[in-house]
Amino acid sequence: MTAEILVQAMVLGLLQGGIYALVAAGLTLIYGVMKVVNFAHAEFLTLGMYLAFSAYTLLGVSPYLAAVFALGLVFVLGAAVQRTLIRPALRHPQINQLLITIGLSTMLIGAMQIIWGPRNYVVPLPWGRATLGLGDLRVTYTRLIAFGVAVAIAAGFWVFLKRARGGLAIRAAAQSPDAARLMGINVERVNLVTFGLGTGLAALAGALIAPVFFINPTFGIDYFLLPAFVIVVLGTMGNFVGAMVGGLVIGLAESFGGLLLGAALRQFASLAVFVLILLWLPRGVFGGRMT
Amino acid sequence: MLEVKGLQVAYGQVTAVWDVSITVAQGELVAVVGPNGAGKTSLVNTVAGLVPAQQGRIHFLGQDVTALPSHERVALGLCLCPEGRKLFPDMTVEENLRLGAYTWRDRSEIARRVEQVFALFPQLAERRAQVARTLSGGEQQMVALGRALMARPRLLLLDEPSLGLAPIVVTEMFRAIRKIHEAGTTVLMVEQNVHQTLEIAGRGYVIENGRIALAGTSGALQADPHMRTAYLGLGA
Repeated sequence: MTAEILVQAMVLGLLQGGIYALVAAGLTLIYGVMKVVNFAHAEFLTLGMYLAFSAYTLLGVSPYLAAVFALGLVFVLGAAVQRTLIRPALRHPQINQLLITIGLSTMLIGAMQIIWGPRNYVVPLPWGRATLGLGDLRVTYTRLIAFGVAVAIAAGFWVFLKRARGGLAIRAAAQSPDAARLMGINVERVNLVTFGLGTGLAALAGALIAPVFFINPTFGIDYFLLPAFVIVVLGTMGNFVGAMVGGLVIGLAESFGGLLLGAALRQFASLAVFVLILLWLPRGVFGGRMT
Repeated sequence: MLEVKGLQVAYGQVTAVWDVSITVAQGELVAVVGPNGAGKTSLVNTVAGLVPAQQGRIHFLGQDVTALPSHERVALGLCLCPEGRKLFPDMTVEENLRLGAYTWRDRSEIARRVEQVFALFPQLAERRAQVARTLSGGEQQMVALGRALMARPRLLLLDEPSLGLAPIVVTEMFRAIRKIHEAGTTVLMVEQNVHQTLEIAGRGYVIENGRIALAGTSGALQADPHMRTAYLGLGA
């Protein structure tokens, strides 16, 4: 095994990990604030991919511009879902919320199947296969852009959580909802906005990778749901920075796992990481919530 | 300023507060004392809006706030420093304080108030960047009290500010509350530490089994035979 192959595995792992990080960030945000495990999260990613696809094929809009609209559109959709399906279940046992989000996942997959059909689509960017050469290493521009934008958005969001008044309110509601109410924070509104933002970030990530992967109704649940959950647990459920770092770690684990065990077993490595964490560090590596 | 009339609070089948009426006038320091489980916390939590009232009305500054959500009561100047402090555990002392002024937007004013809290509790100043869960119990109570002051409350509700603190810290806490009251804040405090509470309060209510058992000035309560035997450990 040559050094070039290892470097390539590392670069591809990081590129994938950046996308994972953004998807997992939304998932961990929703869990951190509402303690709801959103099993429909990956479907919002798939929806983002389809929105980018339709924007490109029907209107000729660049997927990167469409990503912004996907974020906005899915923010509204996510907020509506929170208001109608999640909020009434917040007072009930977690099993109810679980069944509701699993049902939502099935519904969204069905809806996408009806709207776009079961076929695989690609966003046929004319430069979609163009690559950047770095020595022996070749990486498509589409992957580089997706990674760069995903990491920049996630970092920007982190600054928002740390510095902005709204970010402070989200962190306060995550750490102690009753205390947040006593500070004058409208926790119901924080929940609504957080669900919209979390699902919106997934859709944004979906639009960014629409030129990279084949799009079909179960793409998200097939390829992103499991890694996203592994990352969220690895990085401590509800911890934003943990999701960022966990995303990169799982991206690398899958990449090296695929290299060492063959592509068919690429998820083996990340699942092995998952099992080890659940055995020895069930609360994740990062400790506190929304710090 | 605050008028609670015929308040009843229940959790499922269990009623914690029965037909309780209390008033607090501008500038007063009023105490609600009584044994553990008497309904004191339920009373203030309902006044703050964390728990819904089953029956009865709550008026604040002439406005019926019975159905108002907590965060809107805070905006009116009705602030609770809750039992068990309820700090934001993974945030710093300064972030906790700044959250106390969430309903205010003037950044320089907020910064000025943070410094005022540090003037009241100097030992917090050196811990301003420390995460709240790593503080001692006394320091956490200081942050909780300071955080409640950050909102400039018109009526400050205090729930067991001395709970679980060392005696010397309790004395310091009561001194701080007296100072806050003397600086012009109206206070309604719930306490089990009857002796020290009646020392600083002007008036008090005694609540037993969810009902008002006794009410009067602190002097009258301190002289009451039932109070002397049941709460103050003195002879009748």
